[in-house]
Amino acid sequence: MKATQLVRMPFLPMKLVPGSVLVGIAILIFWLLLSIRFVQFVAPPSQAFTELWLGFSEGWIIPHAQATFTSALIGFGIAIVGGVSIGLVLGVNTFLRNVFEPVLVSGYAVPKIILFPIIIMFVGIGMGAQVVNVFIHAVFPLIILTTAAVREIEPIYIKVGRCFNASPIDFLSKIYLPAIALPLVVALRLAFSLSIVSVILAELFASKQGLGRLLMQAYVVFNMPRMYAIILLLFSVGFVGNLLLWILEKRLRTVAA
Amino acid sequence: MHHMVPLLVRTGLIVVFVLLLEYVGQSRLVSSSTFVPVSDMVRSLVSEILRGRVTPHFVRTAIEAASSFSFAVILGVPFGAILWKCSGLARAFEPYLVSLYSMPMVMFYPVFLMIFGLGIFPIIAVTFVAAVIPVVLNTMIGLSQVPEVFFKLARCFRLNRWQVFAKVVLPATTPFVFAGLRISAIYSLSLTIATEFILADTGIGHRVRWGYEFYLTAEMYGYIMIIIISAVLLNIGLTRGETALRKERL
Repeated sequence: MKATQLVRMPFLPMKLVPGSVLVGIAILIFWLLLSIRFVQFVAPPSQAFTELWLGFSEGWIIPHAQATFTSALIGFGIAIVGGVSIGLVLGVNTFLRNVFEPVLVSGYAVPKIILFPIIIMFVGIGMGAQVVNVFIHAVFPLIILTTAAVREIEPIYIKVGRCFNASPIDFLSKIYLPAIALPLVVALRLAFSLSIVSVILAELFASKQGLGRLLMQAYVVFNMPRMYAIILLLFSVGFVGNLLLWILEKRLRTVAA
Repeated sequence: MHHMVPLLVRTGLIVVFVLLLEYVGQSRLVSSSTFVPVSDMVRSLVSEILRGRVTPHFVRTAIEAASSFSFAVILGVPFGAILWKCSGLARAFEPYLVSLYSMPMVMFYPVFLMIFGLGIFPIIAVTFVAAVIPVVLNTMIGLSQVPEVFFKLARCFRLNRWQVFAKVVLPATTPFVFAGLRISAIYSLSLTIATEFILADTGIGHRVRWGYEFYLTAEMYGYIMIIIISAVLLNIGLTRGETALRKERL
């Protein structure tokens, strides 16, 4: 059983076809119909777009969006550095890999959001707690997939490196990192999505600032345009972030082919 | 014997880690409202179980996770198959499916809370939305990786539609579909617990929040232990199942 099969991100050679635009329009129409049928639960798209626009022009959404995305990005960044480093060590060292891999795979399957109260009790509510929370969510797939990627490097590359008497830095920058670039981008997509999910989950639980908190406040006072505006913003950020990483993945695939 | 060494080292490290936590708790390096010795966590957990306070929450969580997983399978597999049959439709849906894979679906929880009210249904609904995506994607990819020659052979034998499904499609796609099901099952459990943890009246995730809010630190850690153990056991079980399926196929 390979660890990569556990943490898998499907790759589809997707192309933006006119049909995709039609699906997008169909979703908007469906949303509009829902808002007409269920006036009490669903705000119409126009109201959500207007509210989102107001959020940025009046500025009330900006500090919350900043809090959410800053902690997500910092946690994600630390997880990349930590996850890739640990993954490289585990990929090279068979013994350490055999010891730790089952623990990491189990750790990946545990809903880590339940550790958030412990983080709050030690660090206090705020950006620090959010960064730790994002880190523990994003680091597992990064370690697991980097380890698997290092294992699949052709042994001949390593031999060639030895023949050229390459320094450890050369080994890292000229052999290991280029060889694992593609699986790493797949890991980044997964870790990116987990970063956003974990920060929203934690903000819905307890926070001073952030889009999750804003969403919960809007729910409590039944401010539907605001709820749907926040969902729209999160959806757009997820969509664009995922699309950018996917374009990077596609480019790497063409280079590899 | 040699392959036992990593297992022994791993077990040893886990034991040392637990003892270390016990020591930190006992030594009062950290205030008892923040951290308690492992023995206290276990003691409070056992007393909660004996007072019958764990079972109803555990059952509720299990029902929610199992229902959303079942809906995800019942609706996701056919939808994945339809997308595979109509490749135009699949291409149109792809950007959305792939992005939805990485959306924080929990953002829809307040919406479902408004529609259904507090209880079992908003949790099942939001968990279903997240759990169905890997099922759809893996079914679609699994079906598209069945070699064309299998279908040609089936035509040579004049198999009817049902036979093609039972004798060709099903065996060839089982490992892929199962991989999707496993991811979906883990998502179901995780998101059920996460939504209970955010806002619910019952459920094992809700109990963690309850412990946190009422400063019942030992109980909170006890419930966290149950969740970790359940998730690890579920994952081990599913991984075993998947390995067995793959072996059987070879």
